[in-house]
Amino acid sequence: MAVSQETVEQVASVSEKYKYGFVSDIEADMAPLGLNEDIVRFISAKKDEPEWMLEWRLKAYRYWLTMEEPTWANVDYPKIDFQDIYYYSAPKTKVNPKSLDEVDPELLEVYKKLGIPLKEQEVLAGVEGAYNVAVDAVFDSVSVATTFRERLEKEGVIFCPISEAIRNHPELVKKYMGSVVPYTDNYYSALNCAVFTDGSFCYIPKGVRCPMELSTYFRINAAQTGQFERTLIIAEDDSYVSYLEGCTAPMRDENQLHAAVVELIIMDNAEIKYSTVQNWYPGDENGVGGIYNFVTKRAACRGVNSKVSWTQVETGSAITWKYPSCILQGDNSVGEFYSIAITNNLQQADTGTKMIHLGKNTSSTIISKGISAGRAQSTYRGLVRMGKKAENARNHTVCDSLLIGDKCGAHTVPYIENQSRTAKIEHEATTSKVSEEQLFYCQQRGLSEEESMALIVNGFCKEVLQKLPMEFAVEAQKLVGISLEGSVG
Amino acid sequence: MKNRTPLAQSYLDRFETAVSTLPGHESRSVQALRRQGLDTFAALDFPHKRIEEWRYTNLSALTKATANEDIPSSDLDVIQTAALDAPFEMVFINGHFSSDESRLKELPEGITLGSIASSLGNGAVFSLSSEEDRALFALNTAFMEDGFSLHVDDHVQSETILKITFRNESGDQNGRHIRNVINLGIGSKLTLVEEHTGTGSYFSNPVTSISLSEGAALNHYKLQNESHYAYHLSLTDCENAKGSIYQNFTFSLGARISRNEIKTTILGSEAESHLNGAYLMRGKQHCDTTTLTEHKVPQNISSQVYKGVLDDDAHGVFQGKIHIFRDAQQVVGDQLSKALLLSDRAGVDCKPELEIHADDVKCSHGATSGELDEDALFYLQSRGIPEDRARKLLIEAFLADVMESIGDTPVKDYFNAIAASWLTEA
Repeated sequence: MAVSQETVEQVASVSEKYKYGFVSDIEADMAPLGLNEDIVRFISAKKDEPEWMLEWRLKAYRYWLTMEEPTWANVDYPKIDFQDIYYYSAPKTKVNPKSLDEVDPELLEVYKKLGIPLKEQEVLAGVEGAYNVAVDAVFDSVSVATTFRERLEKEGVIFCPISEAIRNHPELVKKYMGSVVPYTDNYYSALNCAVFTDGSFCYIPKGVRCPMELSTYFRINAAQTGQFERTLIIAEDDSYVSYLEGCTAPMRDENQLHAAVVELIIMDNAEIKYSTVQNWYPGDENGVGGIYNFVTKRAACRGVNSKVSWTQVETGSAITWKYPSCILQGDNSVGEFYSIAITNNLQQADTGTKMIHLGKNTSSTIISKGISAGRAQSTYRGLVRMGKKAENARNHTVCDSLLIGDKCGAHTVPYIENQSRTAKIEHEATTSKVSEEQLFYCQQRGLSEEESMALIVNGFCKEVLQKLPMEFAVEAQKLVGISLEGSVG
Repeated sequence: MKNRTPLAQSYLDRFETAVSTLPGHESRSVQALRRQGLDTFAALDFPHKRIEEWRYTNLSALTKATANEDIPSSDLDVIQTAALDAPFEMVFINGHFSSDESRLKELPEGITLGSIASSLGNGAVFSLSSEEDRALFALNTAFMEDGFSLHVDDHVQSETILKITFRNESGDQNGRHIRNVINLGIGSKLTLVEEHTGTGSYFSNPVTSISLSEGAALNHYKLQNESHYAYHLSLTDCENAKGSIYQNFTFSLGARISRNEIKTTILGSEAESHLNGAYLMRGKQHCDTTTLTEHKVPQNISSQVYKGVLDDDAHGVFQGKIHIFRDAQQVVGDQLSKALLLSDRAGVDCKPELEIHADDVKCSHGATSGELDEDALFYLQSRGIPEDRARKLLIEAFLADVMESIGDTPVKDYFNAIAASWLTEA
């Protein structure tokens, strides 16, 4: 299909359109450049942490030094210089403000620009949308505001920055942190354990259905910094919570590292729904700049009948390396993974999930859609393992890839390990391109080529988009359009 | 120096003697080739589980110092109830061509079949790519002793079945490093059946290189029915030119640990590569099927269908990869792996992989694993069929569709008869 001049111009205009790419000039308090034990101590001191936390960080750091950077993922990038990163950066304003009025107006401006409601009343008045969402806003290395805390406390729900939880709820943090992703787990999780700065902590007590969606919004602002966030969510017996996560970063020519660890713990009959719209700066059309997103996310379904569902829309990041996993320990526990990964230009995504079935009658569903355009490479890498005791366990996996253009790649690397006779595993995958017929059909009905493409791609993603909470679904549908606009041809 | 496995070290120790006695020792180029193979192998050692392609197959039972020592006196019998009626048969005993046992008189015109041992150094030319990273290929190159060399002239289309039998028994430490070469000329056609059997404990490491010219068609069957104490690690490389068709069917029942690794490279349009197979394993057997299909040019077709039945402590592995290179448009690739677990201790690992760099292709892969369908079993029993028979019936049905892909009826009947007697033993 010949590309018209108009399309070319449109591509150019669209690919510059990363609307979250602005830089805010906010004075920051930074740690010295580089990484060593003193930096770990510095971060710990900044956070006013108890001794046991520092010990744990140092153990992780020493272990990290003995590890080698993993190379098995299907991604290609220059070696990261871990000494050329600022591991701590906080806006030079009052942290932990008593009320929103104390938050630096410049910061509020940033979040306003990003469309994140930090003002409770606005949300209540329905200005920004009809939904109540409690937001924890993490700016570089610190949490700058957490909304609706009082309302949540009434229900017994703890939702606060993790640094605060370490100080105020040490018994919970001590018990659960590192119990799902130990610091020995992998290279980036070890690094994260040593230098993590902030993130969210959620504790849903027994029998509580969290009255509103919880959400954390991550923003990288300062240059040359790495963001190492840590999220810990605990759902006690018979509780439920839906958690959303969003992330953006300014446009910069150098790459920035984001290495997060997320741990979910789900007890008897509890459920966590975890949704991510990942929209880090993906780099420009020549692959300059962008975020390296190396994330370890894992959920432990410890209780019977517990349930976890991961939903992710991955449109940003120069490189994504992320495998939200489920350890299905409790009998009858359920793990779900719904993912759309969209890569354009020179983006690379190696993403998937791990479903480890240990308990009886456990079941898991994996639906993964990968879309590659431009010169991007996207890989689905997933593991389904049925342990010997996983009687009557079930897994159903569908992973589809869609290729747009002839210079991109789509890869599927599933690992399926079955040790249980009564377990049933089904895996299917297809790779295809957007068919000319479908495009023609849509255009014939008066849609433009781009509209047709967006429609087809949205249809391809529908299964996953439907799993997102309402306001994210709308946003994600728009994102699907943005990332692929101009890819026709 | 790094720690070598005892078996690798023993190969290194015995190389100097081998290089001056093995076939082709008079030829300098053969010697140089063997040395190159040895160097590559020495750098790699035997594959281990940290190598991604070998993560599911552990060779430590083979490579440890005491391997081959504890051979029981009463051998488990290989299943040998049926026989294949092939007019021509070439027999190798313990890795050496036996003209007495072979029936090769009056081969159809245009088919040349000889032994590698007689032509190494004067005719047969091998090379080892400097990028070769398959240790077993390198080991075979260093120690290759015999094998068959088959050539079919252009446009010769033979309807007869050619059978090659490899019979092994336990004995020396050397292993059987068989090297086979198959060349099919333009528009030629051939059906070939390889059969590997034996008694006792031994290590078989056959390497087969196949080259199909334009429009050639090869039906390649392999029955791996080695002794249950043997190690069978085989490599098959096939190159497909334009319009050629390669059909491979591997039926595995034997060996303590077996691996059947097939790599096909499609270099011409309208070519087809179909790799199918079945494996029936019990006891402590381990069977690994690894395939790599490379589509380097547009417009061709490939498929893989493997079905396995695993009983007792048996372990099955399927690793299949379809690699579609950039610009290899309009390729159709399908892959399916199904495993049936009959015991609580049996297991299966599966890795159906796609690597796709072209946008106008249709690729799919599927993998399932599970036990016999209880409902189907109940249905049959409710019709008065005893449970035992019903089970057998369902396993046969499970295998049927892949067995049906065997195009040559005598071979199909032969394999089905063997499968039936395997099931009777259960």
